[in-house]
Amino acid sequence: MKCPYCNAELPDDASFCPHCAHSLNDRKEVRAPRPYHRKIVIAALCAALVLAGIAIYSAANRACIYEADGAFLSYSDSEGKYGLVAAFFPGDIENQKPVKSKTVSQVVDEEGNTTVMIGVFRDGELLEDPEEFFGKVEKCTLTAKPEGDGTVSLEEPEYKEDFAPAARESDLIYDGNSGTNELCWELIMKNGDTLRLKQTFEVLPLEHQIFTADDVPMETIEDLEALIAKINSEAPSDAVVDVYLPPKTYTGDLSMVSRSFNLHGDPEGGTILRGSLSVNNDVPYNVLLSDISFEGQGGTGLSATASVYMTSCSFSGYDVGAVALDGGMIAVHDCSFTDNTVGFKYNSVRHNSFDDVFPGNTFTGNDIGVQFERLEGTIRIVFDGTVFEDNRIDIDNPIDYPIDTANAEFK
Amino acid sequence: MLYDYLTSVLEKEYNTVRVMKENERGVVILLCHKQSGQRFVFHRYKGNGDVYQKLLEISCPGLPQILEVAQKDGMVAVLEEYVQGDPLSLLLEADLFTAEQTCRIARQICQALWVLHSLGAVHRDVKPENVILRGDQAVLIDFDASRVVKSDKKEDTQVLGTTGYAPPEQYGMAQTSAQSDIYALGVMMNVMLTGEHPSQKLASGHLGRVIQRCTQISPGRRYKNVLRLIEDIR
Repeated sequence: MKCPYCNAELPDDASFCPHCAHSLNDRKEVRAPRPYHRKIVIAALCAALVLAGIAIYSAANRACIYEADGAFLSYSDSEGKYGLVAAFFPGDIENQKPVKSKTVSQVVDEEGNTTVMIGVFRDGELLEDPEEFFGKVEKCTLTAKPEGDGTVSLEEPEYKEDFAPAARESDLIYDGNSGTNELCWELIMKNGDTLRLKQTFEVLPLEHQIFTADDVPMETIEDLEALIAKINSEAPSDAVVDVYLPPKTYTGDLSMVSRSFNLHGDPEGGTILRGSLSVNNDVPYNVLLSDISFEGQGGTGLSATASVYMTSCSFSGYDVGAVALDGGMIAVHDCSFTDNTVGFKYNSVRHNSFDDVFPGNTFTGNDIGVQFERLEGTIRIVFDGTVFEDNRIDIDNPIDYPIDTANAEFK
Repeated sequence: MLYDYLTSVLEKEYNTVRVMKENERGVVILLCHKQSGQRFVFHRYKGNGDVYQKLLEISCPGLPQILEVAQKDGMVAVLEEYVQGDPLSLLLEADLFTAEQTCRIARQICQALWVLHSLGAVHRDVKPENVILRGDQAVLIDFDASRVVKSDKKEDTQVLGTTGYAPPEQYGMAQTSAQSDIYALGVMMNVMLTGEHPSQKLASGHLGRVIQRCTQISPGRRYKNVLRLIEDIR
């Protein structure tokens, strides 16, 4: 080999170049370890043992904080191993499916609400009596920490039979400005342990467009058709559109296709549609209809293959006042169906997600008040506060769809 | 090849400053590199170069830097750093050392011995002549008598070391070990403090007790290792 300093030829095993007097090998610097006096070491070891003993004792008896990364937390005590599941619907609790986040859209100036809940499992099985676990809980709170300026409000969590099998439920009220919120369930156990689960609730603000007779012509059915065309072509797809009709009588048919909007009549009465309204299943959001009098001479007043929420409307003189068709569903509140062949008809494959779909309605003088021709699903339809009077058949239910008429009034 | 090459180049390119030590086993010569003027110590002796070979790859403040080791036909050639300073033996001719000075030097020698012992080697010739004071740092030199400990041997085959400093086992009573260097260091400490072998006059006080433990006849009754000894040197 050659010396890297003077280029002299050297034996391969050389560690030193005697020509230029340079060392060639790498050296490791070695120093003796710093000695410690044995007495000090022994004392330190004893102290360490004592401290370790104290630490172990303290750890064994100390209250612990169990913090879940998301909506599921495992917690054990002498009576078993528990699983806590946070979700937004009872079905998710039942399926032991933690739901870490939920996103909704809401117009900026309106409130919305949802439910937040927690369920408890022991050894993998849903606790039939959640108080078996909550009996060990000193305090259960649900708080929201908004990321931005928006806020949400939460009820104090409590057991509600309606939301069983959830062990605790809280209603969450938000608006379009609520933004992203971190929801934190905190359970302080009687033994001092703290359990925390976290969820995220996000509200995406929606633009809100309002049309009134002061903004656009609303004198005739043609004006309304032109307005619907304008909304279809100009309104942003994620905007919520409300149309407030004046107290006028419109004659003709209207069709809501490709874009949803809410249609409001005059609350004092006087907004009359002599014709039919069809709501097509292409519309992306629920449609709200209110305070409109449908007056027909045969035919169908409202046919919906989409989701319609209807309140304070009236139907009279139709073959079918309102029908939910082919996947559509209609929730009917405080409406009246008078002198129709069929007041309201279900001919849909979709089960109704509103379990109180018929509160406060009146069916008077119809050949058939409510007809269940076709409807899939098992959610019970409740006719609380509904009055049936002078119909030939109040409820025609050949498919035996589950209904509850206990609090309906039949005259 | 390395042995011949090294001796040949040293002969041609280095001047002999002086012969530092010469006996029947070999010679130690102070050389000067003609080109750079640097000084080096050159050992040539009959024996084993294993300890030097181990030291070739390390550096330690209390040991000289070994630059080259070559062996041929039972002869060992070693080139090492020249440690410029005063031998402890020379200083001892002038005066004894204080307890504080003795402790400081003894601790530094202990540290050097720890490195040596951790390589599995025993110096076997710890004495004032082999300790150079380079400024505040004591450096242990001359590993010609040192050897790598072999655990299966009961006795040393050769009597090496310096009479008076060598422990009993070095005279064939048992195999030399780290305790042999502890014995010699104990003797050296006593000489630094009293000028006498501990069997003649033991240093007084705490250090006397330390020296007494270092120089027990039975190696098993001495300090177990130099780190234990450092703990007591205060």
